[in-house]
Amino acid sequence: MVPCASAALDAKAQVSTGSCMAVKKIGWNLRSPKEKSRLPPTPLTPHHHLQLFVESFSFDGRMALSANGTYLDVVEILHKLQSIGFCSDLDVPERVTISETSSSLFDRILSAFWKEVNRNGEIRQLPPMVGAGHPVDLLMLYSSVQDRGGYDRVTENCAWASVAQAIGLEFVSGSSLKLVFFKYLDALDRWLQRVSGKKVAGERPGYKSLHHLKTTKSYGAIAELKNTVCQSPPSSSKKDQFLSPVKGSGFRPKIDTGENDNNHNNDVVTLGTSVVCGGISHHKRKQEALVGMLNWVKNLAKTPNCYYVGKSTKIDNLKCRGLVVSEHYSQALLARQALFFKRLRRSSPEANNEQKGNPSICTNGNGTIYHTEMVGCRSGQVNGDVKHRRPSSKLGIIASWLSNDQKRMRIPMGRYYQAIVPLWTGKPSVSSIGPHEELKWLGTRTWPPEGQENELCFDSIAVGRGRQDTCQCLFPGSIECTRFHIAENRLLLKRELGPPFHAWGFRSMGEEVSLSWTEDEELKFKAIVNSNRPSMDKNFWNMLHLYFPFKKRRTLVSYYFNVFLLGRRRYQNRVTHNIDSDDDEPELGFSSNRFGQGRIKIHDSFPIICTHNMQCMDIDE
Amino acid sequence: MASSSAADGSEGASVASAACRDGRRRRVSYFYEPTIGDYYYGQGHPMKPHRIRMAHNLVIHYGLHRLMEISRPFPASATDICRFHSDEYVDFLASVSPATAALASAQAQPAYDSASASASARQLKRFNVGEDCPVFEGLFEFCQSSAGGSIGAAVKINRGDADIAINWAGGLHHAKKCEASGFCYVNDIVLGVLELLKYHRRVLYVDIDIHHGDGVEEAFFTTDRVMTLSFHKYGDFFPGTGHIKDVGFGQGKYYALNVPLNDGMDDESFRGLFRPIIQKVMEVYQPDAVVLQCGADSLAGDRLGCFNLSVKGHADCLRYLRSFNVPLMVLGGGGYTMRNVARCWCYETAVAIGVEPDNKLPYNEYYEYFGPDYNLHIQPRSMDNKNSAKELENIRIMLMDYLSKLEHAPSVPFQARPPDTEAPEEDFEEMEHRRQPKLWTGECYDSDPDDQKPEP
Repeated sequence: MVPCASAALDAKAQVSTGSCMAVKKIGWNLRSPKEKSRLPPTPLTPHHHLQLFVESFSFDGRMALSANGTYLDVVEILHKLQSIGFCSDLDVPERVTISETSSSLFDRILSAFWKEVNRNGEIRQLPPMVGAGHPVDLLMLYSSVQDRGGYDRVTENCAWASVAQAIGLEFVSGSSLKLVFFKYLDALDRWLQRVSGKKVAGERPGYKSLHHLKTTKSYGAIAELKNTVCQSPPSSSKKDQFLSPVKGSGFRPKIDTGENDNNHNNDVVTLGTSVVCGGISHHKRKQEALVGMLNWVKNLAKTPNCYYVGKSTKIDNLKCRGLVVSEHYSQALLARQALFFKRLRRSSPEANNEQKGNPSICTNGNGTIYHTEMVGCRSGQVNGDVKHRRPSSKLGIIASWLSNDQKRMRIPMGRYYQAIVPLWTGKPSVSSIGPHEELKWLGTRTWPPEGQENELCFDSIAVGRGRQDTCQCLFPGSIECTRFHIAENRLLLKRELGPPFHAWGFRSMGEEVSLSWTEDEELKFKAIVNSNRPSMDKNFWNMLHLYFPFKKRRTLVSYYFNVFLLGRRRYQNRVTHNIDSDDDEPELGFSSNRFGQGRIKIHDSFPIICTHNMQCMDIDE
Repeated sequence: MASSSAADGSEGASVASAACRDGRRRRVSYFYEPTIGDYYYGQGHPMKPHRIRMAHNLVIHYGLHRLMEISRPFPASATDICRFHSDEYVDFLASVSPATAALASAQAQPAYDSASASASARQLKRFNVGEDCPVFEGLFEFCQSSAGGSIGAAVKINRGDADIAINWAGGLHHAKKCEASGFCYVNDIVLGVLELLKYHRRVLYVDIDIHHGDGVEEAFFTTDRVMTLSFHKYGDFFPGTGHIKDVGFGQGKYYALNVPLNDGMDDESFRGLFRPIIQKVMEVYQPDAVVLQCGADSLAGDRLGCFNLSVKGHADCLRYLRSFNVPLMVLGGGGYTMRNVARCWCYETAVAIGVEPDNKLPYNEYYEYFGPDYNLHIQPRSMDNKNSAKELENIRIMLMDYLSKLEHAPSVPFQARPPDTEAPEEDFEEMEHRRQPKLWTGECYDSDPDDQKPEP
């Protein structure tokens, strides 16, 4: 009766909001126990988590040698930390042995440090990933930032890109690195500075907002993140969430302090990729970028043995095992998470609290209008007294969510959601403002014209008449032939309509719009659009504004739809047959001689022959 | 009116309108804002208001305007929009501009963490304005036109000036009371329905957009004066609501119905579900006015949709509802393959006025958009219909069950209304009395509102 989850597996990669039922299933069922140590959303206790994590680094590293040649005494760091009471239960390594393991020692120190600093038991995933799943060596990052004068100096000098290069990552990962530093190393850095007696600047700007990200971590935020220039999280205050009746992309603030916060860290650091994580959220659009991931998941679901998920994502093997897999994997995790929060959206506790305060809307009189019925829910708690039901933890929610795939989103109720519908009194409620007020809504009548109401033709033959096959043109269907007939029809229409022709904006419809553009301008427009493709992550509108400072946005949009797209469609119709009027991604071809030229030619004595040859004149120029 | 006599023929339960006794003609009023096509959501955004201009262009080139009245809508003011939406949200919409939004999102970076700087960023987030619902130039005017058209259409119907009122710029069904959603900012449908409720006791809202009409459902979830009925794709699809078991609450229980469907719905399956359900709804609920949201993303080949309806199959919903001869408000909605949206809404305009247009499109300014066949109708694609006959049958049974609960609900005051289907002659007289043909007489807009609602 209801589309079932398995259908999603066979479905063509139908990407939209929640296209990832499959992802969800795989994420939860196909994981090997081994990888639990680094998979973010594993429902483990913090302690358990950490333990696993530490076990997985059964190293004997002692001392640091960072890759760029700077020696940094990890042991020294540990000593410093211990001197102020941190990490007292870590044993101090005696000496340096193998350089590679210094990083893991550093990581170990870090995680022990976090455990003590963050009392709420927040766990961060190690190592952080940036770009297409490249792991970041935190020790190298830390030391190269120190080399450049510390976090503030690097930020000031916009040197994050060079930091990225210094530690062997892509140039573009710079801004992600900044974030990684912020999340992973900032606290350590400041404590160390304090030990060294340096004056510690106040809390770094933005530090707060990072923590807020954890509490909001909306998929919306993730998507925004992608777009923000420096790829750092948008600030949003916790307070806002509590106060906001709408809860923007509202989530339960309460549950976020719990076990699984490392999910979110994972999100943040993997965002450097071009992966459109926001697309999986509650977006209405299809996101083609995810097709690859979906296919991967689909294959994985079909043949779970062929893909060694655990291995391929294990840190050590990342570089040699295809990065593609890990990218898909992290995408899938993000997708699953986004989906999860989508479900949570609009079911936050504030909604219920607010309803309580506003019984006036409640139609059953006692102020309790909680719509709490669940579908096929197996967990017993749901159908009981649900009024104040608040899953005690995220785990609880996940469990109840998983126990019924098709549990539906609740419809929120209360004065922030429903319209105020007056009771029917048996008589029309005449507007208090008077009939005059009502008249304004009738708008401006543009047809039939004043005084011609009775002349309305009921000649139904003419109404609904389409194109007649009486074309006398030499080459029917050619560009010139069509243009001629369009112009002809336009003229007839203009004569028939009179003033409404202008009132309905016919003057700014179709290729005539281009008559107010010079040929140079048109060429420039075309060149700009073609060289700033959305697929290159460019926005051609920005460029257009730059190049046509005297044209209003409205003029540019009008040209785009009335002339430019029409030209592209003409090319598609005649050459590629790849019909698409709706993607802003331009194709290479463009079939149009200038509109003005063509119009003149129609009145020529022998126009058709040459125009026929010109049909595709500026293809692939 | 003649709901129980609804036949299953292609013309449905066709009953003559008071103004035109021939059983086919309706007085149609159509709202069009000439500047609508130049609003632009942004590069790569699938929602393109230009499609409304393309539809209008086809309508005029087919000469359909000759059989209807066309008006330019009066823009709804912030106060009017506040009849549904929260003041704060409307203030925000009215004041936000692309520049302030860009500034706000720049300030959202951690480098500026002062409370004042991020106030507008918080607003953007709180009102869900950003990615899916971007801030574009002229955003508020766009909303004003859209809402103004739908309220205008409702007023036309309230005054008895028209049997069918069309606003293709309306139908933005996702917008919530305090929040934008799914390319919709202002819920013109709710505003229009609220206007209709001034004169009509019961309003039926039918939604054939591929997405669930969540904004409208939510707005009227707890009232029985509006029944919402949405046919949509459900399961891993925006907006995620619209489960068959969501039926309304309190007074509104069983007055919010959902028909969840799967990919590949074709004309036949859709019709097999739509007609019996609508027939039953009309019989049981007896609405005084109907609002139909004609989102064209349920057509085959839509950029965001996954159904497989032809233009004819889509328009069949309108044809069937029209046949009940209840005042009908027809609105646009989704639709992301522009050429098909224009085709669909043009054809539906023709259906509204009772004309069957030629398949060959007339030459028009946007002719090339409709290539390479340049026809009005589109061919469904060869794709699987994932809705099995069994599933569809179950859905139908379930909805019939809900509707039968309404029938026997003692608190529902249907008895107060005279059973108008039993005495058609009287009924016609009553209608004649009720709806004077004001439209074509030249003397304008001086109706006596008491006139229009004879029943208690």
